[in-house]
Amino acid sequence: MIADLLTTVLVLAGLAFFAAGTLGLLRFPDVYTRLHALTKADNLGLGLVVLGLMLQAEGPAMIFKLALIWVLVLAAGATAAHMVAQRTWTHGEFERRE
Amino acid sequence: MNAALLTFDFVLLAGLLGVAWRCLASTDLFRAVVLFITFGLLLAIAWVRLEAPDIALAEAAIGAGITGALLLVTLERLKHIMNRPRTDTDHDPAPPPDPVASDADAPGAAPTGDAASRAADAGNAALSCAPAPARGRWITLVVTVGLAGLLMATLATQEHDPGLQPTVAEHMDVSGVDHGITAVLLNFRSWDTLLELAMVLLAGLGAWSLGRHDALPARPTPGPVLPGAVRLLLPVAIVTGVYLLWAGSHAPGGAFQAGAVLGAAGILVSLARPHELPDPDPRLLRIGVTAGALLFLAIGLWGLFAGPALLTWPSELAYPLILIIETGATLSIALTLVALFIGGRSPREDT
Amino acid sequence: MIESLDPGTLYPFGGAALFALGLHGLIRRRHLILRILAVNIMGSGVFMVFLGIAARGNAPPDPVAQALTLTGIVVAVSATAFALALTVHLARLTGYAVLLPGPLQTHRDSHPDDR
Repeated sequence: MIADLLTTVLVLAGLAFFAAGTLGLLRFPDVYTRLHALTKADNLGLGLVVLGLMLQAEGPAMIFKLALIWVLVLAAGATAAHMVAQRTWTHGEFERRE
Repeated sequence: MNAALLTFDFVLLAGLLGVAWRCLASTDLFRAVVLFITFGLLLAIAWVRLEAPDIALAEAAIGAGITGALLLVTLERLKHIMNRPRTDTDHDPAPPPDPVASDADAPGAAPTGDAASRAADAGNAALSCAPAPARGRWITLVVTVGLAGLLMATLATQEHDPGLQPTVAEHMDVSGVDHGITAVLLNFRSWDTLLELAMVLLAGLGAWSLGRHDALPARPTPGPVLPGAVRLLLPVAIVTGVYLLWAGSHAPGGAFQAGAVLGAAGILVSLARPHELPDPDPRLLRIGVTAGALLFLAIGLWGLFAGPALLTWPSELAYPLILIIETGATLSIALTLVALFIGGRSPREDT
Repeated sequence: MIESLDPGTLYPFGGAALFALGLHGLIRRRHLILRILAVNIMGSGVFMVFLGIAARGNAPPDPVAQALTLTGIVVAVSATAFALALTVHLARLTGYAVLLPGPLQTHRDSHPDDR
């Protein structure tokens, strides 16, 4: 029961961070700030969601898989953000359309 | 609870239709491709909602991941081709870009200032598509909306049918595996899977027949981050691929998902290539690409002469045979996907 | 009414709409990349109809329909990859990634504005 409640709170908190990151993606003016908002907020949000789901896991294997997912998303997200930013840096400024 | 799920379904469907519409209405090809990748990921969520985790895995890995990589590299190639000054008037097919030349304009030697922005403008112009002309707008709209209406009317009046699920469940004990979809794919309807592997092989051969491969036009910015990430992700991807292959016998997973994960790992390596990768031995590559279809066919023929019938296996041997076939299929699918990404034969084959 | 709208009933309609949307894009857009995307979206609509019907009712979903869809996804990516290779080849030959009427050479130095 406590676990269920904690899961709900953690997942909702994670979703709030996802919403904040998405808002940043939509509202911030250039590539760097958008990446900043998206990667920081989403990594934390995913961490909270994963933590919440771990409380519902059936065994250590499931907990390990969830942790692995988080670590892999962190690594992939950091790499992708770095590459997008570096590409923007070397290939001219991002221009806002519309 | 039901109302919340129903709301979720409606939002998901509206999102899918909206993303598909924005993708097809886009005048910027890059934006269209990014929206298509988003569409594939949303579709994976829809498959989970329809109790099809196998399909969701395949859609996320193949439909969104591999197709997205293929589309993006095609855009880079088109940009490269269309920005080339077209002064040659001969009818010969233009030679593939010189690998040495494309090395020279690697981002390490990025042009500066005006030249860079002009090149970027030309590239963007090559990757745009004028909006559809107004002529014929209404007739297309009427035809497609009418078709959608007819399809929906047919679906609405369709009788509910339990389908083949009871039949499959009844025969699971002779299939050699514990997962329904794998049993259907590699035992009950192995014809489909054999023809599908042949289809993958044909696509690879077709792409190879179009000529020699040119160097991948865009190289990632040099730096320690991507090679480091590849070094971290590659072993995990290989373990995941093998795990998916093994899990296919009793849980969601199997040859296609495993092949897609391994293919994605291969694409990542060929993109990151900290040093120029040597071409693989052509003979080994050909064996690898054809292994899936040929192994499947050979075991199927063995079934014709020594077992019950063509492409049928005795139930006590079914599990090892299915595992062998799946391993071959995984190898072939992964190699063919990487080959399709690189595009064309390797130059070594011509010598 | 709400109870009868399970995913198995709802999603096939979405699939039909996706199919029609893809067909619309296929007819209206001229760039070959967009046409390939349109065919892929039509295919996704077909998969959605298939899986939706397979998931109807309270029984576990029909594994045959799911296996066929899995096959279909892999065939779709192979066909897409081949179509993209053909598009690149066409662009290499003509300089344009749209289908133009007539033999190849006549377009080599023309610059239609509806590229």
